[in-house]
Amino acid sequence: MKIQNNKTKEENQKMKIQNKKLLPSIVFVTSVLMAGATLSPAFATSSLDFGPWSKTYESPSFHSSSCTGTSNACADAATTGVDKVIARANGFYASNSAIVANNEDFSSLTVGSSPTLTTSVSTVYFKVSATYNGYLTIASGASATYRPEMTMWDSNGELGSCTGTNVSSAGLSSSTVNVSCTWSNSGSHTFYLGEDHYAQASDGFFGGQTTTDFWNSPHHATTNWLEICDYNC
Amino acid sequence: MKKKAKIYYIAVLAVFVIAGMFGINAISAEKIQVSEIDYSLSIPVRNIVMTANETVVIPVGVSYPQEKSLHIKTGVTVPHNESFFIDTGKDNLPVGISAVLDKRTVDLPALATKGDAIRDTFNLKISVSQNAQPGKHTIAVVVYEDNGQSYSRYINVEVQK
Repeated sequence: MKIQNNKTKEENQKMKIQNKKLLPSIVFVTSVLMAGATLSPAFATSSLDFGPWSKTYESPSFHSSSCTGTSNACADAATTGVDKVIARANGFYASNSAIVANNEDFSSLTVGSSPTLTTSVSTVYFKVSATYNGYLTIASGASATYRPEMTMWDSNGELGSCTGTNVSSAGLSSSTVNVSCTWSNSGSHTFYLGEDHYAQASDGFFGGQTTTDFWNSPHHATTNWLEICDYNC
Repeated sequence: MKKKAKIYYIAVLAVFVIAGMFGINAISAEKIQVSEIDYSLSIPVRNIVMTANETVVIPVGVSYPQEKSLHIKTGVTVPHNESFFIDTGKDNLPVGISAVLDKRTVDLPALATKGDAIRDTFNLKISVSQNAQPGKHTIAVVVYEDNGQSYSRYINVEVQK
């Protein structure tokens, strides 16, 4: 009986030592988790202070799944660094003078070295993530939406555009939008994203006054990252 | 008993780790809107030169994965007017330039074969009248879905006297 009690005491002593060893690990894991949560996309979208081309907005399945063509050649702006601020309101009924679009000012754009990709593959793939901040006031009985758009260029000029789905309908809003697009190609060209990748706001009714404001700080559009890839899967 | 406590400790920690990972991803997925457009247009010309009373017909191919089905609408407008056109049907084409398509919708069924291919073709007919302004005009051939997601390709039309 005494021997058994001694054994139990020894086991308890061992367990205490093991628990002491375990404690730092728990503290470490908890710290890592908390740090991860602070840098997560959900928290990042509420802040405008993150640097250009931060991948904190990234939706992993969107960003990394498809740019894996046979040649797998990609130009990735997240590594070259671009800070591009773009804003435009567009598409209002021209015949209704009461509807105005504020701050279509491109003069203070900050455009860095946008990535380019020179390729002769038959399909080129673009992926863009942008965060739009804007204020939209909608007249009574009217409807209006933001719709993000990116414009693609090649070495011969403007190719065309891809337009995402609606971002929001009214008031002050901020949304991160990811748009991906494939482009047919013939011959060797250098591809890049146009500066006028923007959010459009269109108004569907007459009467009253609808305004949109993308520019007054901090309401604007910021490109978070861009990928251009060969895509011959 | 102490061993059980240790296992319980680790289990709770594991639950927190997994819940944390999934929870964060679920929140971020709600915040980010993703538009993946995997159809594209293939147009054999980029720049055309036209004079008054002239008409040209340009074939436009729709490229799309063969294993997938698709329903899109087609239209012609000017660059950066795509959203407005989708919402209202107003093309805002330059005075004196007419651009029409012989197909307003494209319906592609899913096929057994895989990979991108030209799945359908329609024709773009561009006409220039006497009152068109000389100079360069750009028109946009646009295809779009019911949710407003769209893809467009631009063609430059140089009108000469």
